[in-house]
Amino acid sequence: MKLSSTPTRAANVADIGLAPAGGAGATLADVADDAALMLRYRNGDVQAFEILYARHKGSLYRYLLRTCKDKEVANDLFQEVWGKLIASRERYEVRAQFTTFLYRIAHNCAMDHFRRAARVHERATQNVDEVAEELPGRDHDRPESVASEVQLRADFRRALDALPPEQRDVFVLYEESGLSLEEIGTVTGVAMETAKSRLRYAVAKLRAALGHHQPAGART
Amino acid sequence: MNEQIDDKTFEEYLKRGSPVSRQYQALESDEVPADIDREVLARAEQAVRSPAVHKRRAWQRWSIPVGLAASAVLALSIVMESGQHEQTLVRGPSYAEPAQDASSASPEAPKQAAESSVEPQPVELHAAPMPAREEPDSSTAAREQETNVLRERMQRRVAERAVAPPPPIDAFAKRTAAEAERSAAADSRAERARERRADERSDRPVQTVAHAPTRPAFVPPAAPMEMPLPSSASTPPSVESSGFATEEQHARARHVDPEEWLREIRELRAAGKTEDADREWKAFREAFPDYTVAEDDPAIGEGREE
Repeated sequence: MKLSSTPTRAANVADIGLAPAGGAGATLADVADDAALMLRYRNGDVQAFEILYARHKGSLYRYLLRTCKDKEVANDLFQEVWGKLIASRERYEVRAQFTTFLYRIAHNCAMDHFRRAARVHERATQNVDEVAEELPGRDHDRPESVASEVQLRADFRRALDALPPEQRDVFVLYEESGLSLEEIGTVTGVAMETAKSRLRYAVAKLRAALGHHQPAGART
Repeated sequence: MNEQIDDKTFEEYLKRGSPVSRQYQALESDEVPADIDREVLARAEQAVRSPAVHKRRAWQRWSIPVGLAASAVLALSIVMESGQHEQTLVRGPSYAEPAQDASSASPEAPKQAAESSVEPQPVELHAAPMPAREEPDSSTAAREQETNVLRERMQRRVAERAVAPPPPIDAFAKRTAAEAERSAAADSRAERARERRADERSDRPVQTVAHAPTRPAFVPPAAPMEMPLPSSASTPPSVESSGFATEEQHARARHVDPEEWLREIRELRAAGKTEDADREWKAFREAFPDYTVAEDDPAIGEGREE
């Protein structure tokens, strides 16, 4: 299995002087290292936790931020997730990938938050509309402009935020955590086929958003 | 908007090389705020370096089972203690038993007995109004003297019991109420037996026995036995009930303990004093009509149980 890699993540790891373990070259050994690091932290090795944190903080933060679409909420949830992980260190056992363990905590925290604030989705939708107003309009709205990379990103971001929460959750999990569909099903508490179906719908919508910027003949 | 993609496109996406993945990775990166970084790391370090938290968690882990065990031990000890107390009550003397008479057979008798048993009051043996009677002759005077001696003994016993702490109210009240009912039933049987005997006596008017003076307020204290005392035991002699009541009281005065009385009867029979033994046995039966005596008890003699 290979973990998804972003320049940001690599930079985060480099901030504390560690080699990026979750990058494009990550292997099963790296994943196993996560569990070993957690076990070391359970035994009192704080530096092991720092390595773990550097590896996963960026992807976890983005997952929370893009799932909740609210920076304040994402900040709170981010601390909550790590707090729970710290609190559960003595009960930690290597039963699955550390990433699965970590993102299951994150998913549960996010769901709890949504339950606590039922209007979060509503408010997030309003935020999306506010963001959309700030973003430049689509190309066909302004025929005189040329589709730029910025415009493409803006449309993609808008399409991502417009995804149903379940589909967005699965999509961001797949992109950020590097988990397999089966593991995503485990994290989100649904069957693997359900997770796959949600991901398929999400990808189709995002592709459709990208299609507006591509020539008709280039669309696949 | 087309929300379906073919399998090939989706498989391409799953390989993470699709334009969708590239576009997602190209989104602006959202960094974790530095203050949150510091806070999380500080919390992680603090969690490792604070053994007090660890100890508290270990204590909390054992708090529930230890609490349950302590509760179980406490409950068990209370149950055992109450059981011992119940045994003490069963073996102990009855406070209300002698206080019952035929008039207490009313429905309120158990309640009264329970109330009276809650706070044992000193028995005023001489407070009972004695019925008026003629000048007693020498024999009745001697009997009365013996009765007084017996009263004094009983008074001492009651005083000794009154000093002892009373048992718990609820259990004692229930037990006393049950005993009061039993005593009332025994008294009722004794009354019927006396009436029957009175009917058989032709030289004495039936009305005399049937309308014997009601029991005075004085009630002898409990005897050291489970057998309830018949009501006639405390009935003072009267002129009208000259023979029966006096004999019975005399017998009672001599033999408060039925076992002792039976023992004396056995000794009489062993000594060949059959007539005396038969007389004593008859008196015994009148005094203790429902006292259980074995059929082969030598005290019964030839007369056998009635």
